Formats: sequence, structure tokens, C-alpha cells
Amino acid sequence: MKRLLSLTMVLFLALGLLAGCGTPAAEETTPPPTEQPQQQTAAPVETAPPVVEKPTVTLWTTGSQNLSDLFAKAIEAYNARPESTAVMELQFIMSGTGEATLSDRMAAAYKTSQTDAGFDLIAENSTALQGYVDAAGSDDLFVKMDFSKIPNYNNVLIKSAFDNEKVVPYRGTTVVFAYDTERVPSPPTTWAELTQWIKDHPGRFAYNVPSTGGAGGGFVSTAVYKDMPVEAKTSNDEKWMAEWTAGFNWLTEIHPYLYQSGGAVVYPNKNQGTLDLLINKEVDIIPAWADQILTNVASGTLPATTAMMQLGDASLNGTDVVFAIPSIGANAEACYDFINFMISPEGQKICLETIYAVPVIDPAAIDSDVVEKVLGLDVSKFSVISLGDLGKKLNEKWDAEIATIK
Amino acid sequence: MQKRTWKTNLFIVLMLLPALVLSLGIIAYPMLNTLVKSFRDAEGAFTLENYRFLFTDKIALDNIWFTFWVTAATVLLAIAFAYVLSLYLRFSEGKISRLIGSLYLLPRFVPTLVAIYAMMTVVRDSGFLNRVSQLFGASFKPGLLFNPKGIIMMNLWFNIPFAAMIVSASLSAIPNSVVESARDVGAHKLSVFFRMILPLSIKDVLIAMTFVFMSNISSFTTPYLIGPNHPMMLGVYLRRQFSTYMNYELSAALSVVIFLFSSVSAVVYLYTNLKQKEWEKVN
Repeated sequence: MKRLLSLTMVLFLALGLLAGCGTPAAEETTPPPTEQPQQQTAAPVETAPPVVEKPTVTLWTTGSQNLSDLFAKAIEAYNARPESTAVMELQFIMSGTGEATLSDRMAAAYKTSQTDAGFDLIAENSTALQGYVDAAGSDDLFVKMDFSKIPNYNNVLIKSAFDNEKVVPYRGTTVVFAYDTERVPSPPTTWAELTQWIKDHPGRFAYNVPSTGGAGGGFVSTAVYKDMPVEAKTSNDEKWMAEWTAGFNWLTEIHPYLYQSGGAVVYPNKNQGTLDLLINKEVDIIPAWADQILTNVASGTLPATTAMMQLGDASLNGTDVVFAIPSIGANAEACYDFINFMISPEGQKICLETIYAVPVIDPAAIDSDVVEKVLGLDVSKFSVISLGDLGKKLNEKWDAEIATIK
Repeated sequence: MQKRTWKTNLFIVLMLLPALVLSLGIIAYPMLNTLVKSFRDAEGAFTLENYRFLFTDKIALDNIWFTFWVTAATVLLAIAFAYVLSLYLRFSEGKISRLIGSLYLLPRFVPTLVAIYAMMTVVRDSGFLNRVSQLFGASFKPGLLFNPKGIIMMNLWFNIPFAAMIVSASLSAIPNSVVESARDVGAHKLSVFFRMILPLSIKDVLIAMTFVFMSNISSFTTPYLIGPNHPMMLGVYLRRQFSTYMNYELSAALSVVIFLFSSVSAVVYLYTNLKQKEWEKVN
């Protein structure tokens, strides 16, 4: 009997070990994508020959809830069209719940040469793509597009901040300063004036922790890079870190005059954190994404007197948002039709009306009454800052030097 | 009772097997894995650097110290409030005490996030309290969010009912006859408390303290939503190291440190439980 007992013990110890090895190992290298997309990508592989069945394309993207809404709508519209040549599916990663991991997951899939991991198409800020390439450690992460298969590309008016052979921009978005014209009748127009305004109005300006949202991130990187050489703004070279001092000194200088609660300066978490402060009238000027401001004005949480502005000497950074086809996707060909749809007047209208996206085609071609709201935001004039992995270092330095000021 | 045969033994083993496999797979193995990882650098070579960093880096030390004192304050305040509340519930027999007795557990049934957002809506500087004060021409700013005061207040909201539940159970186990007989022989109220009630309930107070300590030392949601930017509690710091900086080895070391802190209170818990048995023997 004892032998039997010990035998069973050994058995389930071994079992436990196996079970144990299975789970965490998978966690470390490639999370869900490996399992989930299997059924999703199964279709194109099996239905290669003439059958009329459409291939399934999985689109991956990451961002706030508004982006999830946008693609849910766009994909619904696309899949409902009889002329569409693919069936789209969405994999969405909510920012803040694992935002960093889309680039990570792709890097992991790329490094382990997985071609059926379901990363058929991604939608991402072009300024973030360098980070993906850095994480994967190879320029071959994205394939060159075959623009002959995207006829609507001829109507796209803007050039991307990333390699233009590999991406198709479908909307623009930018960080702006948002304020209430009733409370701030004459807003600052230059960074020097902004500095003065912040000092004259202690506690009425706030920006969010840069690592928790792009609005604060954009504000910090613009403040740090605005007086640096142009080539620095799109470089991931660590030599530029030496020139960050002036920007950080300025951030330190304005620190005591920022939003306070309970007697100490507070940087809210996430873009929504500063938006809430503006909505509750606790502050008067904040850096925020243009589309989030417009959405809040439309829903009435921000008053109609809310306005957006840029400072004359350096705009807060904006970006074109693009589609890119990873080289580890299963079916590059099938992606083109959806991309073509998204930059058609119809697709652009969905973007515009769902999240107030800045169109990439001539706004006159879009039949929508909200188009005037974004006319002031010209993608071609956006200030681009794309730091790749260096962006992480910038956030780390901010966490260490600015967040810790007593 | 029937004597156990090898069949019943096998049956028992089979019944326990799923739970054992599960706990080995999802608890024991990852814990070992974390422990091993915490002694490695990014390349996988052995190093003590992660621990050295945690106990020498200014920010990390600030965070550890901050976590400790916020947790300690939470434990002491929660127990103090809970003890007074339990005493009142045990020895007062009015309608109010019965009402409180049936209501005090309510906060346990409100989901964490809901409770935190509700609290934020009330106490934020532009929140409910502020707006009410504006009706009277003042602008009262509680200043409770984004600092340790806010975290401790929120922790108390969650932990007083929990601690009171444990302490109440212990107090209601003290028979009225004990208290009455002491009073009969002329013991003062205070001496009844210090010589009878407190000694009889101290064990459960200690147990409540260890539970409150353990659940708060690694808390995340509360400090993430209403804590300061710096210093931050270890749960938030861990998430930042893991998800933002992707510093997996340091995160592993940090997890081990949090685990060790928790085990200190686990030791206290075990020790108190063992002691109880001896105490019972004496009786």
C-alpha cells in the first residue's frame, strides 16, 4: 500500500510540474495571441482555393475605449458590405491594462518566428511604431505595402512620420492645450507666456503622469524636445539624453505651481485624470488629446465654451495613426481591402463621427456635419516626436526626477 | 469507524489530486519561479543586484518605508475603531446598537472599485462635500485624495467592518456570567475590561491585525487610484516596474520582498494560534 501511495505521489508531483511548466512559460514568452487566433486564422489557411468563403483578418490595436468603439463600428460596417473581400475581427488591448504588451506580444511572436500568431494587421500611432521595431529588434517587423491594391491611397493627403512604404495613415490625432474660454479669456500664446501664466495662476494647470497617457507624455516630450535639434525628435539614439536637462529644469521650475490637493502637487494618472480636473473646474488649462476634448464637448461633459490651442513656438506633438502589416501575419493580401475601406470617404466618415478623428483625405469629400470641428487641426502641420525605446527612458527619468520633488 | 483500506486511501488521494495539482501549478511553481528569477539579471546570470537596488535606491526605499507606515497606521486605526465598535455592539442593548450591528458589515458587500469611486466623488476637492460647502458660501477642500490620508481613510472603510467581525465574534464568546461575577465581587468597569475582556479577546485582535496587515501591505487598487505620485505603495510600484519598465527580474525581487513582509504577519498569526492551545491547557 505504501508503494502505491508513493507511486501516486510521484505521479501527481510530475503532473504538477508539467502543469506548472505549461502555464508560466507561456506567460513569459507569448501571452494569449498564440492560442486565441488559432481559430481566427484557421479560415484563410483552410480555404485557400476557389471557394467563395472570405478570409478572416485579425486587426490588433490598443488605446482608450473610444478606439474600441471606432473599430467595432468600422468593422461592423465593413463586414456588412457584400463587396468586402475579407472578414475582419478585432483584438483590442485597453491602454493601462497591458498597453505595453501589444508591442511585446508582437516582439515575442517575431523573435520566435511564429507566422500564425494572428497579427495580420495593426493600427497604431506612427510615432509608436519605432518602439515596436525596437522591441522586435528588426526593421523587417513590418512589410512593404503594395499600394496598387489600395486605390484610395491616391487620395491620402498626408505623409506618415514612419516609413511611408510600410504604412497607410487613416487618421490624425494631436495633443492640444484645452481650456475654457470663459475662465481663460486670453490664453498664453508662447511657451514663455505659458510659464508666466502657470506662475500667475498657481494650481490651475495640470498634466498627467507621462507613462500613464499620451497627453501628459506629449506635453513632457514637447517640453523636453522643443529646443533640441530637429533630428533628435525622431531619433532613438541615447546620446540625446544629455540634452534633456533644460527641459527637465523647466518641468521642475513649473512644478510648484501645478494642480494641488491636500497641500501637495499632484499629477493625475491617465489622460482621463486631467480631463476630470478640467471637467470639474479644478484646473483651467490642460494638455489633452484633441479627439477626447471634442468627444467630451459633444457629450456635454465639457462646456461648449471649451477651446483648443497650440503655442506658437512649438506645438504639442501629434501623430498620424496608421495601418501596418506585420511580416508575421498570415495573410497580407487580405488586409488591403479593409485598409482601402478605412481611407475611403465612407470609412473616414466613421472615424470622424465616432472619435472626431482628423481625416487624412480632403475633408470636403466627407459628407458629415461634424467635419468643421476638426478643420483647424491640420495633420501635415503636426509636430512629430517619435523616440522609440528612448520614450520609455524619458518616462523613467520623469518618474525619478519630477514625481519625487517634495 | 471503519478501518481505512488502501482503496479508501486511494480514493482520498484521488479526491485531493485536482486541488494539489492546481495549487502546485498555479501557486507553488510560479512562486519558485519568481524566487529564482529574483536572483537573476536580464541575461539570466546569478546576481544580488535586484535586492541591492531595492534596499539602496532612494525611491525604492521611500516606497518601502511609505508602504510600511501606511499599512501600520491602517492596522492600528482599523483595530482601534473595530474594537470600540465591537465593545459597543457587545455590551449595549439599544435599538441603535442592533441597527448598527446589522449594518456595519455592509461595506464588505460593496465592490472595491465602486466604493473607491464613490468615496472619490464625495471627498475630492471639487466633490460632494465641496459643493455642499459652496451652498453656504465657503469652499471646503478636504484635500484627502492623492496622499496617504486618502489611502488610510479608504483602507479603514474596507477594514473596520472586517476587523469588527472577528473581534465581535471573540467578544460574544465571553459569557455574561464572567463579567457579572467579576462585577459582583466589586470589580471596577475598567478592571473588568483590562483583566478579563481584553485578555480574553487579545488573541483574536492579533489575528485580525495580521489579516488587515496582509491584505493592505500588497494593496493596489486603492493606492493606484487615490495615492500620491511619490512615494507610492509597493503594489503600485510593482506594477510600474513590471508593466511600464518591463523590469521583470526587479519585479520578481520586489514580489519576494512583499511576500516576506506578509510572512512576518503570517508568523505572528501562527504563533498566536499555537499560544492559544497552551493557554487552553492551563485552564
